[in-house]
Amino acid sequence: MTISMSRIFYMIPEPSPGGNEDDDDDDHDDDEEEEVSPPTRFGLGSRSSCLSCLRIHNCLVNILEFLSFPDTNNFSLVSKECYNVRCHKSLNQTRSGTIRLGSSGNGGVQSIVELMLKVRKRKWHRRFRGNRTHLHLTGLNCLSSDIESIDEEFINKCYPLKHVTSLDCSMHNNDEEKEELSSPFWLFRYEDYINKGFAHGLALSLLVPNLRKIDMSYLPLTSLGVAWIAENNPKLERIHWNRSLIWPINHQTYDILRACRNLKELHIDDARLLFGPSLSRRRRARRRQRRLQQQQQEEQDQDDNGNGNVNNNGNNDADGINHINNGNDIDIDIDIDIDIDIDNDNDNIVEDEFDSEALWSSLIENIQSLVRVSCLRARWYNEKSKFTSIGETEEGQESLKRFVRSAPNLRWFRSDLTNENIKILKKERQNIVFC
Amino acid sequence: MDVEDSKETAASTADTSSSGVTIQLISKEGDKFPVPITVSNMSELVKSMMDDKDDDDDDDDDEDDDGKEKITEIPLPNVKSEVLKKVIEFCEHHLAEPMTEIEKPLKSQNMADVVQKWYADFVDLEQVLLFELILAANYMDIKPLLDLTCATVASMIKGKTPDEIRATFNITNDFSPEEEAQVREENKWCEEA
Repeated sequence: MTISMSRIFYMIPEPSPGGNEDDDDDDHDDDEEEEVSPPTRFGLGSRSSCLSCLRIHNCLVNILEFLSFPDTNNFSLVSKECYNVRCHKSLNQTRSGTIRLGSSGNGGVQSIVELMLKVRKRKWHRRFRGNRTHLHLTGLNCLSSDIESIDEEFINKCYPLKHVTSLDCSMHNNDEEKEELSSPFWLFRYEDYINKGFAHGLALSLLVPNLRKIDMSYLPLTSLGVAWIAENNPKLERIHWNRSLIWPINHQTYDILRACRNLKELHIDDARLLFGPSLSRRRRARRRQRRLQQQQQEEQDQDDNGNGNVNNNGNNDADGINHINNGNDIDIDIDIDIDIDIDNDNDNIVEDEFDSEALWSSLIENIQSLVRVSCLRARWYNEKSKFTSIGETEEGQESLKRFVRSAPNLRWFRSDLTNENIKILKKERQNIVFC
Repeated sequence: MDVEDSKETAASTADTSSSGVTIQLISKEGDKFPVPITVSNMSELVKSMMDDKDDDDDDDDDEDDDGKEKITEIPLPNVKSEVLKKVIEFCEHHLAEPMTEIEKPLKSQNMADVVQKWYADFVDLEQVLLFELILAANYMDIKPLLDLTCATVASMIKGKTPDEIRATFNITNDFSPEEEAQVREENKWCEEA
């Protein structure tokens, strides 16, 4: 019996000249004054090393898979041969990069505008291209909202990291932040929470507009922040939102989440969900009417002033914002729940306030594509007992069951469902794995 | 190397094999190593060769015309006897005590911290033999052995500076200062702002 040599040996595909860079589809890059050299494949001058024999059998790539980023970087500096191996596309280490915000002391970025300017200045959009599709972003919590400085012109000049499809902006590794964020939400100053929750969403929507996976565990986000992310990332498939203060959740959030037609996984373990007041139909209709009147009044004012091109992006108050998505104006009508607090029109609020169960179950109605959901120890707000585990009460158990029953594509569900309820559901939906 | 000893070891294992089917692995030097099929099947290469052979001989019985048990011979022309002996030793132990999966990236430079002691001791070898073992594992397509040996080399790289890596593996630095600077620039996977 003979063995084909081609069956035994396979050569490492050489990194093509230009390394792992894709053809440039970034319009901004054509405007670059200074070209950054693409990764270089060096010719092999020396084959004397004992590692050479491993290289031709692809084994060096296997070895590098066991090393961390700093170690593979050190390895790439050993020789040209080592460098060429480190550039191999199959290595995870070539697919990921990290941006640490706020790590430069007082000189670190503190606002969204500063962040986007730094991306442009340091050409990070060039570092995150081709193979490097995963971004680990730390220190997002240090950003404040400066939306008043962001207009269409600014956004058009931004250099988003278009090739990044996977983002980890969770705060798992920062003990101080973890401690802070695990504190009850009411310890936050209201303005801080609104500011940060909004800033995070806005920053991410500007920075990474093509996400498929995002881990934003421990990150405070308001529904408006989520709206920015969801609207800008319609391809999102997986959201990890564990241990977060998710507030406020309301119908509008779900409307926006519905933009994520491809969302298959949602992980909200240990999250604290504060469902905002849902508005009665009568009150909604009244608000719509009032908003329409305001718009008509504004249009009238603009006509009177002869200026029809006012872009009031600084207006993030209750009646909505002008949202600019990749240069195209999209108006999103978002009700922020501050409105409830400052609105003097109190009739009909009480009857629907904190309708957690209804809002929770409407989540699945809005995201029918979900395949895997984990909501272990998730808590929702109850006016009487404040934050309680969803699975703790009979009402919560019923809502979890309803959740499962109304999810046509659900295949994996981890929650605080009781064993009895799991047994009942297993009979109804045999193709779902309950954990 | 005492090939006869290894043959005896392998043969004795073969005798005690519950399957009773023995495969003869033939090294580069022509030495024959009888092993139970359960051991040889850890190699995807051997396994596929056996499958091919079964297809060719599907009309034949397991016994020759004269009634003797038929022993299948698998030539491994790229594996030296010394290395093949180690490969068989690994496969035999792996069947008895499967190796735990090695975490990526390595959490320690010490192999005993990432894998059971027997395996850590098994790869405590001279560099040349270790590399030949990697090549054999790659050639014979034995994933656990490839993982173990590659992780061992990785542990020799982990935490070392470029100079220390060069010294460990006797590698010459063929970068010009400009080229090295260029690589350092490209390596900036972590940005601070």
